[in-house]
Amino acid sequence: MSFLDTHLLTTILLCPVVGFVALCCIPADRIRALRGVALLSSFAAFALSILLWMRFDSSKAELQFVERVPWLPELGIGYIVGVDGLSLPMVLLTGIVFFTGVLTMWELETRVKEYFAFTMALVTGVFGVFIAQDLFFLFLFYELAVLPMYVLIAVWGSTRREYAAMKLTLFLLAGSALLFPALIGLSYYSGVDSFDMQMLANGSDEGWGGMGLVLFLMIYVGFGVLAGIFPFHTWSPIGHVAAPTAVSMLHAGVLMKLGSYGVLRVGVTILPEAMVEWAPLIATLAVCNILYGAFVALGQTDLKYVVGYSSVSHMGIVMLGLATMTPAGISGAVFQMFAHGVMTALFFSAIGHIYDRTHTREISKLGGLFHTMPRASTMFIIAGLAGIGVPCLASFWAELLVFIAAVKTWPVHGVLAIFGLVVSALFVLRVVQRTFFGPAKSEWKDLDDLRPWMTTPRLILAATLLVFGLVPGLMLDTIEATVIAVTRALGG
Amino acid sequence: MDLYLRFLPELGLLGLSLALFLVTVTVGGESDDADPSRRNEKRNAAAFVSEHIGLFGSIGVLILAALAIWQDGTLFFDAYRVGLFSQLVKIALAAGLVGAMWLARDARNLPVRDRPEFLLFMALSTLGMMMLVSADELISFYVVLELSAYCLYIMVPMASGHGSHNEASYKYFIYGATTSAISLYGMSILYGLAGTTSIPGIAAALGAAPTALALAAVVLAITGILFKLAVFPFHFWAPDVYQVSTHSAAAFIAATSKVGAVAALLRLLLIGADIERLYWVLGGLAVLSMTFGNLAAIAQKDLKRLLAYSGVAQGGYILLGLMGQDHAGYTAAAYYTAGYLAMVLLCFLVIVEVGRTLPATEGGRPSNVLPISSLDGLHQRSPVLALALLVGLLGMAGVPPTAGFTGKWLLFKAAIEVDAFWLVFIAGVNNTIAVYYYLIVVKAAYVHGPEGQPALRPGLVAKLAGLGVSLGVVLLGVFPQWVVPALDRAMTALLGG
Repeated sequence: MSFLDTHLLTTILLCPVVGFVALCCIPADRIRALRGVALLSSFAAFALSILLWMRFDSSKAELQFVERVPWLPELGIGYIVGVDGLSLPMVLLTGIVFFTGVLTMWELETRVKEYFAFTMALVTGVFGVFIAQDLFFLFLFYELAVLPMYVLIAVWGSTRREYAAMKLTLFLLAGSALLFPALIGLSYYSGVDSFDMQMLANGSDEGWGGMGLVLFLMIYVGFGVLAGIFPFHTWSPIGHVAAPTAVSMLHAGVLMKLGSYGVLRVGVTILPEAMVEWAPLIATLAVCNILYGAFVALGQTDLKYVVGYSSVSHMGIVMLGLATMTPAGISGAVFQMFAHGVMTALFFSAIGHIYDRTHTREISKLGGLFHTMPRASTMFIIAGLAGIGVPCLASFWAELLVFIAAVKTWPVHGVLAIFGLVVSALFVLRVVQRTFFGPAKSEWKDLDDLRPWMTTPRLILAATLLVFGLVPGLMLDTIEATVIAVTRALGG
Repeated sequence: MDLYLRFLPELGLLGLSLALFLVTVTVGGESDDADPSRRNEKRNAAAFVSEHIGLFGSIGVLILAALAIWQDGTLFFDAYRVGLFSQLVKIALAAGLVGAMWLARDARNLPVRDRPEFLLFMALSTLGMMMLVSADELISFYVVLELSAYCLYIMVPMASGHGSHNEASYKYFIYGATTSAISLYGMSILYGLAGTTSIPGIAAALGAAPTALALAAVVLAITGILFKLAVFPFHFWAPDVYQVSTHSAAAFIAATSKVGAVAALLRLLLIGADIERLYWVLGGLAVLSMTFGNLAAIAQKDLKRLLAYSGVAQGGYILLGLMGQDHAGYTAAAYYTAGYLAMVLLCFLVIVEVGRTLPATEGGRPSNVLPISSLDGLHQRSPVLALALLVGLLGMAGVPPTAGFTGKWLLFKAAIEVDAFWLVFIAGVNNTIAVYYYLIVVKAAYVHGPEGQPALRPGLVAKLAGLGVSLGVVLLGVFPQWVVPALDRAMTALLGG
């Protein structure tokens, strides 16, 4: 156990790496073995991230489980990993979505080996970003998470997959074009001459000048592309639609969080003064996200597009929370990242089942599905209710905190955002009513519901929403200490 | 004895060249045998013998180069400097030669008659490059530069004798001869300014008086090397030459000769170490080269042309490291070049293997042209080759965890440290453009189905080489600390000495 105590984060990171290597060694026609390896690796990561959660001391604001290995000390690069209240929920979220994603794709038949191998590469990158405390490794993992998406969507996807995959990759890498100079510039212009993010955050109190503003903007836009900030969100809904089920889950559930997490971790903690200057812009764009996403979702006819645009809207809530620069707002933002991740994973997981059976996602063609697929429908409806912030589900607390903070700091923005929530209630209820209720259609009469085994991943996700909805203190206590430290630097 | 030790890799390579030469004049010589079948038999024997001599001989040279790594000192009346830098480059060159020799085996698109000579020129050209990185005096520098260049000029038209081949080889030769004339002109001005042909001597003299004329002379002098590196605007030969020459010749020109060019540029730039305005020249060339190369590559349908334009862009990235003319930048450029060598060889491994399956054109030999569509369904035809291609291409695109990513990080960091923040921004944008065309190739290999494509049966060695080099590219990227300190020391010796 002592090894786990000191190397828990690296062990989590190695789960998908080992899975990747093992998958590469197994012949492509041994499908059962391939699935078994994927399941084992994802379960190990899931279990270890729960262990991490339980061992985390939420009274401390600083990094925990820190490991430091000098990598290229001449150039200021070190392998530094650690988690605090901002990253711990993200690690848990990744563990949950990774595991349930593998379970959801259990019935995949085509190119199983490559599918799971690319998923492992993607998840390695995601875990890496959330635990890295060195800019070099953060960016390495960030880029590693983006590229497998291309293959995953282009090969296993559906509607306009090659176009969507290319658009997504180019958008995200255009963001990297901003990040590449900005991250290196952080080290150079701070005068710290190291990529250790803690050293940068501590040593950057003065002397940024105008360059700090430029760097922050580059970081905000660069990571923001991945978080789907308006107007750089257009890759996101089409990416969701084209991606296969579990990739949509990872994409909306985890990958978009990399963006908002990056803004928070790199932008806000290292350049707090610049954050204060740019906050009005961030708040305004966030409200654009909320309203625009909700209204566009209202007009969609494809289930996945609806959820895709609702993600754009919900990511706006995250960014609005960050822009308030208050403990409540940032706690709400982090909570919303987690809750939204679980919720969209559940959404796409349910849609995936419906699409596999009906081969359509057109809302007008569906209808009365509750009669034939009560379990799948229930899952979708739970996710929908979470999306509109119904109490007892995790998103309620997250959205409540953000809106309270927003109305205080940015009254106009806050009121507009709450209006956006009303619109999203409208489209979710409309979709639920047209897709699942009403008279049963004859063509969908003979379809099977989720089998009990395949209900497991959806149950895990729904249970997570419910647990954190009933006991929000679980999450908020974990985040609190770190968030207070962050807001102190912001002058809040 | 010291002399032989310091000259060990070159001596080995000279021996290899002699052995190949003997094969070409004895077994491979113009046969007067009237019987065509006996003539063919003799030619096949000569090709077989020379291929084996070439491959095992170059492995021997690699071992010799590794043995000579700690040699230090000067030779031939201070005209030849041996140090950690030159020895590391020689190892890389020898490794590149092994790769090219192996790719050249059983080259079906090369007439059997020409194969021994082809390998001979490859070895001689490498010899020129090895001596180039040690030459510490302008005249010997120029002579060995020409030795390596002329061998390449001959290798290109050997693929066949007519049509577009000739256009490419003329282009290559005429551009090459012109740029080396310009180089020579620059060197003569340098001699006039400094009164000596020794590189450290000139550097000292110019450092005392970094005039505009000195800047002009240095820029003229490096033209010949920028041509070898295919930097814009000296790149016009590259796409044609890559496309029409045999795959192994293209691999040699794209990989091994680029290493030689970067090393020579590093050394020659020492002359201008005190000329500040060289910063703008190199930075400007870097931006033009990467922008032009990347934009032109987008439109390519032929894989080798695409790699040629991507090579133009890569030359730009490398210049980004050289522009500050400082320790960090040189180290980054050397690291990146080492990774680039491996990534290009990976791509050409796939090109050679796929090229074998292409249908024969007139003359009974497969075409040298390799459309991107011939990679369709590679993931199914040969998963190992598809993986090698993926690693090679994504490495060039700067995607982690490859050496390409780490190398770009080091290059960009070095450039930002010499206040080139906005140039790095342009380089970042370029990187995004580049990903587009690399992904088009990845798409053919991974997304498209293999319908209508011939089956691929790479040998065991090809598979092992593909996996091994891919692993190497990844390990080099994740663990840069294994090589960067050595490069660092080499640069200290180079810049300090």
